[in-house]
Amino acid sequence: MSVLRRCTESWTDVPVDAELTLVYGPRWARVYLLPSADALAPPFLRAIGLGGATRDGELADPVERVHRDRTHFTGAPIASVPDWMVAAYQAFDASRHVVPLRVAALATRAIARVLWRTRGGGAPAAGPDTANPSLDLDTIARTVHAVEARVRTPDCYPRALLTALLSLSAGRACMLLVGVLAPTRKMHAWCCLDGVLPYERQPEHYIYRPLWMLWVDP
Amino acid sequence: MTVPALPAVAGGGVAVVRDRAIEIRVRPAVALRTRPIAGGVAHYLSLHDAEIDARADTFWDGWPGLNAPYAWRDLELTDAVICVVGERACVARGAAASFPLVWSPRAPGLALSTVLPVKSGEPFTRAGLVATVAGACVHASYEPNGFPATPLAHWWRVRRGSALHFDGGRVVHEQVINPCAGRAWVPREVIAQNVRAALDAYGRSQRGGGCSLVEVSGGFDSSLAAAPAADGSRAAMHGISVHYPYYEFRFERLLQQATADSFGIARVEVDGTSMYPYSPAEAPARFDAPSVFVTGIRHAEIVARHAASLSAQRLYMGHGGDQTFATDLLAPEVLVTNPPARHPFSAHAWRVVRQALDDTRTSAWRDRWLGTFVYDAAQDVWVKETFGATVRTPFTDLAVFRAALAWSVWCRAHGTVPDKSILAEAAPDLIPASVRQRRGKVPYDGVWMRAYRAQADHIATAFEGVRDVLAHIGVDVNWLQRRARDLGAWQAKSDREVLAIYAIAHWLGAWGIQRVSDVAWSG
Repeated sequence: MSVLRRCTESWTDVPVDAELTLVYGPRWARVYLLPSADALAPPFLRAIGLGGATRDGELADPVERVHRDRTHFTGAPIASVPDWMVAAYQAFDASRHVVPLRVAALATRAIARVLWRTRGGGAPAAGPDTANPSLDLDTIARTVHAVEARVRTPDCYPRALLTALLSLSAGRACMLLVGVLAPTRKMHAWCCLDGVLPYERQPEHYIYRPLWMLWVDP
Repeated sequence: MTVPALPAVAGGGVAVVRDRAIEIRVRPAVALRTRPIAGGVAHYLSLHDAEIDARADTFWDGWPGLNAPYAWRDLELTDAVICVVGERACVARGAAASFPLVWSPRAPGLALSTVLPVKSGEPFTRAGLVATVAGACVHASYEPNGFPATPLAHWWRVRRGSALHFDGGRVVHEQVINPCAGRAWVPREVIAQNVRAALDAYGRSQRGGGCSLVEVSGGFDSSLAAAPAADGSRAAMHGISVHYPYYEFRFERLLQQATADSFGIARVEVDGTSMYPYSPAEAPARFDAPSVFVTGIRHAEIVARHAASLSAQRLYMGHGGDQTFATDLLAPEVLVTNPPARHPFSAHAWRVVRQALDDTRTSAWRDRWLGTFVYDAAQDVWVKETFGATVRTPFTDLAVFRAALAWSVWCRAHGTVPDKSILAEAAPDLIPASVRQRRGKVPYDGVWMRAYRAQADHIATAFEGVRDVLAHIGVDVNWLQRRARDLGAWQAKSDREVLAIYAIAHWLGAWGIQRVSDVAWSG
């Protein structure tokens, strides 16, 4: 894997009325409601971490389906996961207002590279399902579910980053998204692999309008 | 015993049943069936006219007697029974009761009524009005059950899910009605069979019901409200859906149409932006007691008016589905943990609110297995009296509720959280494929924020119209108006106080009580 592979970052704003609009700032993982003119001002955009991102008119949610949710694992034994993975999830959660999401994504990619090397992987395979048979959608979903069974308060933010970690470690590109339930400030984060969201506790990504996207190559 | 027909009292024809010193007033919307019991007489009351005979017969057939420990266990959640034996009376009210039931001591005797006599000249109580804030703040729109106070000083509410025993006009005993028939878990297949049997029984109870309207939301619950009832009556069933033009609702229209198509019913669509929460109704909406349901009154009116235009006898809704099959019924109801803000209340009013909050939190009726958090019936009497249709959902049927209880027991025993998979398993033919495969449930948070944007001025005006009375009961109108305007400006602030006191303001305005001097006060 090349460390120089791209991370393409896009953002948009969602108007709530004729004057005010919602913008997500990945620097402090917050959403802002302010006059449109202020929201588009370059100094503001740099301050909230959007200085290097591309503004799009509208960001379409690439997710076509959710592969698994919590109900799928009802009654099934919970998979065993390594302690470091649980620690990573908790670290992702604790870092959200301190480490900008773009930086967290790059760190996740770095960790994924280490995992890839540990597995003895070479260049990523061509197709999604052959990238790494041991990390297919089922495995990713089962792993994320198992990690969340061991934490006190499961949350979408660390879930998205963990999903990205597992995807990238299997040589698969993914997309991180943050959306808002406009006009509220309720946010949600999710990670999409080839149009599929591997695991959500309950399918809810679709009600959140994407404000920010980061495409991450392995 | 005499059963005279008396002329209208307090704004509507009310039948009065009088037995010695016990008077029972029954509003026309409530059906009554009377039968003798040992030493006295018993009355079965229900809002469901077409079903009351079967309900009453089923209840009496299995009734163990007035003094038996589980005398009221098999009472349908929406109904009530009044027994009179000499100077003694017992009033049992179902946990999801769909009509008011209040009592007042008389000298001598007792008055029981399905109508709170708001405009009868009886004195009001400040504490009774303020206490309603507590219920609205911690468990939204369910009729308060933690305390029996009403806005009238000498009238008390018979709690839902309770049996009150009177002697000579005094309460001598209050009993919690537990509809739970047992806690041992049964196999999942048996639960599915019981769910199906209960839904089939519901369907049979709806046969021959004439024209009906179903509010098609595209979810499990409204599908199960309609499908069993539609069998054999499909030609007489119509659909109505509400649509919002917002991002999170973008899949709903197709889903609702697919659901209606699967039932083979015609469906009309109404623009949700014409009926935001807090939108006032065109028809007068006078509830017996303040209820935050009035924030949805315009929606209820549009749907009910459409039912009336079709001469529909029944209005099917899926209310209670989440509360029964997607909730752990073995746990107490989770109440909002942060209380309302102190600011809008005077010191005296705040003491009343705090006491009512404590009463609600420590209430013996907080356990979900009692059925007291299944259904908000605030609109039922108003819809029936104003538009002629009876609201109906299967999820308040005792058999359905007991099946849901069994589901909670099974889930607890297997370490899982209750969900609606059991409904899909029990009735796959009643739930359209499009519904079973739907993504999830759309929250209304965005709708409510837009409602405050659209209705902030109306809300402030509602408070202003009854400023004198609100000030008298210890509420700061200026604070409320500022908060309403903040919410209308998209500010992320709590709306709990605005919601609760709007219910009071609307109620006062609807009854024409705008000045303190409009009514008498007792405390």
